[in-house]
Amino acid sequence: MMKKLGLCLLLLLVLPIHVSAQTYDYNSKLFQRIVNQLSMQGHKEHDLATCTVKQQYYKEVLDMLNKGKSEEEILNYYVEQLGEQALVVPQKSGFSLTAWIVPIAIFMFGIFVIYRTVRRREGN
Amino acid sequence: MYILGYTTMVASFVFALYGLWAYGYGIKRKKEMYLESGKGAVLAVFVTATIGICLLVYLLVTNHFEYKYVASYTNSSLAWFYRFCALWAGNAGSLLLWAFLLSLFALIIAYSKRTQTHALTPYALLVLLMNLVFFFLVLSVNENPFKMTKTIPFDGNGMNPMLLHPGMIIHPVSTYVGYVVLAVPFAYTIGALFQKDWSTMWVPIVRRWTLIAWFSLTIGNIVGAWWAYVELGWGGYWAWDPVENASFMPWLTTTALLHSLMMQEKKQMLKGWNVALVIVSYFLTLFGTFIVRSGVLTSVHAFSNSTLGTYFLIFMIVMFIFTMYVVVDRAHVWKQNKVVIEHVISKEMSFLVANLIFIGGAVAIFWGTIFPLVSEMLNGKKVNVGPPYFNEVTAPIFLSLILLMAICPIVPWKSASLPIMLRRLSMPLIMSVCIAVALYVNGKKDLYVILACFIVTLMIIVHMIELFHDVWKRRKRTQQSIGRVLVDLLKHNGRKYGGYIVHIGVAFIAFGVIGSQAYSVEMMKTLSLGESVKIGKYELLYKSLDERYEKDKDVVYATLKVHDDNKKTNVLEAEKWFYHHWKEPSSEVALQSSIFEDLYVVLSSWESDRSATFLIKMNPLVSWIWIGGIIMMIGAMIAMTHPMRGWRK
Repeated sequence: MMKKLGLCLLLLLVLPIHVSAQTYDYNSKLFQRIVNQLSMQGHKEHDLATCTVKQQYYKEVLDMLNKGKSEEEILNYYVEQLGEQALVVPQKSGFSLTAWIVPIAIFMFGIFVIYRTVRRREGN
Repeated sequence: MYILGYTTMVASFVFALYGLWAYGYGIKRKKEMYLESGKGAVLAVFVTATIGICLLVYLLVTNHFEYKYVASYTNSSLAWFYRFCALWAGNAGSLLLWAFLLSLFALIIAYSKRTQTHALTPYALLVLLMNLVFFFLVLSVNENPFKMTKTIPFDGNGMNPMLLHPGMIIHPVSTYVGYVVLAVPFAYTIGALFQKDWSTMWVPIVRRWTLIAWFSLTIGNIVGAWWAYVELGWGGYWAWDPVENASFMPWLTTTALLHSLMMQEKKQMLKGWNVALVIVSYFLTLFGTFIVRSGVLTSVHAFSNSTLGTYFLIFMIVMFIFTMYVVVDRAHVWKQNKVVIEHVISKEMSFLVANLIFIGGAVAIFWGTIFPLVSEMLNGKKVNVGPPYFNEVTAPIFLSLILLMAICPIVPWKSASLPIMLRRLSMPLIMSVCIAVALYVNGKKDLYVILACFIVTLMIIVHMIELFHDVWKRRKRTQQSIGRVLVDLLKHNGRKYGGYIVHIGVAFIAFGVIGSQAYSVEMMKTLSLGESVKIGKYELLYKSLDERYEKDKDVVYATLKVHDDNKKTNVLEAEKWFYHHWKEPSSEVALQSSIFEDLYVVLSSWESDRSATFLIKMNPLVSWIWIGGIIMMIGAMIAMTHPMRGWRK
């Protein structure tokens, strides 16, 4: 019984190590998703072969992923380092939320204009 | 030559200034003599601008490196047509091209039989001359293209390798033409407000010039996208760069204008709205130019080391104050008609909604473009607004627009019966649902993509059925062949069917965008010689890595043998070009294009053991974007050959 319990414990210990040991490369979907969210200080669209800044980012992100860091942790790391401009889009919080809200407000305003036009027609 | 060149700039400025005064005085005092004199000034501006531009072209083509502009953008190894294209590669040259085009359009208006006697023309020329004064002032004071170098260099700097592409011949010129032409409807609108004259000619004139601007901007945007795709090596075609947005926004507003002008023509509606659209379109062109030349927003298109932004900002503010004064002062003129739509389900209503969506799209893009500035000014934080933002924000806007395009052709003017409409929609709806189901069954499980495909398919089918219906009706009546009937329909109602063709072109582009955005596959792979890699249905075998030396560059190229599932074999060469005059190498993409997908290979790097790293992409349906662009241009040309009522008078 003790032997089985010990085996189970060993399995439980080994399993997370096995899971976190998943290796990523530049073609991994998660890796691509993360680098696509990073502005890389304006070097995002540069040629990887010649751009040292982009190469550094790729290396760092890959290292972090292979060390078991999550997507959120990696993105937060860069936001802490460089501020919001580390990302290619504004965050959906704080002042940057206005970037996302204004188009919705415009849409609502458009609906209001149409509604008013229809009401005016009914009035006539 | 320096004296001659600089004199043409100063003379153009002086003539434009004189023309402005002559028209202003002639209009105020109602004296024909001064108006005629102003007309002469327009001709003089055109002549001096033509001499100036021809001289610069001559200097560029004949390698006169003693001129700063020539030395900055050309070198002796450049092909003659690229030396010619250097005219618009830099700030001063492109401004001169802009001013020349503006003087050409002013000349056409001043001397055209149709417009020269029209009451609005002097006012329009007054506004165009205001623009010309500004441009030639900048060319004389700040951006003289004939500036000389202190010491004559042995050779010039040459052109940025990214510009050495046939796209350089078409894209910048057509975009400039689009921008410049939009000054004409603006000028006529200000004229109409001054004159309080909304005679039948205003709509046809504005429509004709707007259509030319729209056509040019369409070519500019499509060719620009194609150029970016095949030249830049990142595998995309639209990066939502501030300058790309700056040429897309006037395209959206002019598209809205072309639709709402129909409402004014047929129903005398939306007059004020059209005035607003003309003005907004014009100011968006100024805004675009300000972005390109000021450097306030980061863009790959921006001219470097430019101080022109301040000039454009001042000009924009002056023109804005002037326009606002005229608009407010003449509010009673453009407010004459209010929108009274008789029925909710009617073409009028669908046009109004379409206009609102177009403007909503333009405002959303404008907001995204300027948000980095707004954030920095109000919040003190720098942020980026990149492609994911624009894709997320604009996708629902454009999808709803395409849905409206699907419904619009079957909605009649005035009012429509809902049961009849639903009956006409039933067949396209059933067919579109079938296609959506077929996509789902074939493993395309993304609901957003399926919805998008459903809407675009519906739009195409509705247009095809409408066209088929009209052909069938006419054929029954005339007993002619289908080809003959089609030609007749295009001949007699080119505006309607030209519009339909444009819509079908838009559908093709939409399919291309959906396919390439949703199902693009990318991989980066390092291969040893003889090693192969599989992507989708393709297997790529890395055969060799070689070098060759050309007159102006050294080329490293990798040869790959491509096999597909259908046992077809092709050889691709992905290259890296090292120009002697340029520090950065440039990638020459190896592209295998088919109707269904593009195989896109970029040689990224290589090692001494000849192993090489490739960026390999499989982009579905990209060629549909180029096909759609060509269809749109054909449709626009058909529509352009059919002027509105009143134009021929």
